[in-house]
Amino acid sequence: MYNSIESDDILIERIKKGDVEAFNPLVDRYKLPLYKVMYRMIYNRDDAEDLVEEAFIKAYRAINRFEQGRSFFAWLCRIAVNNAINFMKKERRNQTQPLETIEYSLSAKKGNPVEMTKEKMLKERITMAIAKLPEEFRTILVLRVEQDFSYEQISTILDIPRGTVMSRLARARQKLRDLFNEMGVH
Amino acid sequence: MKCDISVEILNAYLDGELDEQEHRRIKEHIDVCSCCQQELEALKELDARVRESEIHGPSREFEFRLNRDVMERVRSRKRFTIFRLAPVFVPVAVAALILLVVVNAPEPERLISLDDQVMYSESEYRAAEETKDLDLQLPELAPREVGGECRDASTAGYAAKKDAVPAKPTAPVISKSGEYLATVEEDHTADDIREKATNEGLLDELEIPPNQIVRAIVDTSGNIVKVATGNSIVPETDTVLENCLKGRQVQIPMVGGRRTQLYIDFTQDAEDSQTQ
Repeated sequence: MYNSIESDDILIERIKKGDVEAFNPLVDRYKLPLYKVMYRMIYNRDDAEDLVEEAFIKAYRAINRFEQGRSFFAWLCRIAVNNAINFMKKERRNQTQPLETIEYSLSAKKGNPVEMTKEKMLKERITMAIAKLPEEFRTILVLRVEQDFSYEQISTILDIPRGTVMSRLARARQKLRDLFNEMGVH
Repeated sequence: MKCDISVEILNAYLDGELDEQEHRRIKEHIDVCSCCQQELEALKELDARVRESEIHGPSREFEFRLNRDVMERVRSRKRFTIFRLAPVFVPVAVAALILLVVVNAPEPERLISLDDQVMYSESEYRAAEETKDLDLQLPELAPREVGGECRDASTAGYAAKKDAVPAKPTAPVISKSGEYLATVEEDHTADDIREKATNEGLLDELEIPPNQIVRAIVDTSGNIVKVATGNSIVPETDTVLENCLKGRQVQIPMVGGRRTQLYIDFTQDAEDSQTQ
């Protein structure tokens, strides 16, 4: 019914007019990028999947407030990130090391070093280093480096001033470099 | 960094977030600053590592299930939107319905009470009679033996007063706010009461001034239920007279073809008083 080349704005316009099915291509288009953001924040697959679903539902409910011409994904991310932050506050996960990071770490130690290539070990270390970052650094790095959002968009998503985006991003990168050095990522 | 370029500016330069003039200025600096060149390369490498880092991908079910689950929820949401708005619309609809019923409801018939003003006018009575818009059956007091406990002074006094006036006073028009409700001829009632009171020798036991108002209410069954006397427009209940007359049967009053409570005035009119 809807092809993949229809723009977000066209689909959203149809949704606003009552065409529910126009929401399906948007879910299809953004579910994986949104999952990556959620996973980076939560580091738990099941929770990340649930948060993605909730974010889409909330976005649909608030679709009439979306301003045409702006980035739907940035708007969706704002909803999802706020949702995830509330989730973490509730679960107090931001105070503890993500469970899957620990599991990841254990599996790396249990693995056969012979079979494990140097490259794979390096990637695991990088992933562990990112997971060790404080949540606010992780989130801003993911939004900028992985999802390529502009400072202005990040400012909107995280609801912080643009200057704070600049400084927080610089500190996040510096912190990650320190972690890389600690973990022997060169 | 040993130069004056801040880390934030270098990050912003890397991210392409500086304006054109600032970007040119930093670029010119980096071209000649080996320290900043190294720093910039380190940041680029860091970003590359972040992009290459692996995450646990979503479950297989997620990709298939998410669209289905989300769409089911948004479809059901649309379907039940009207019910979610019910907290707002239902009270409004109920209020509108009540208003509609109240506005269209027929005005309830108000029973005549002692507080209503009774007006007398022969000309109005005649006018009403000419219009023929009243279907009136005049209440007629059924003769009843006045018992020992009932043949009291009030009846006697009333009868004494009536003895002094012509037997057939002008029939009054009972009205409320100028609207005709019924006409009453009390000849039989007055004569009956007077005759019985006279026969029993009780005429002199109670004196009622000639201008005293005497009124009674007859219910829809034809029973006299209230009797009041007094000189004001709103007379007070006269329990003595009421005890005598209460319960006496008269013809069931009919107004407009329907049984109705009726307000009967036994008072002689001013003209009659003057003749006295």
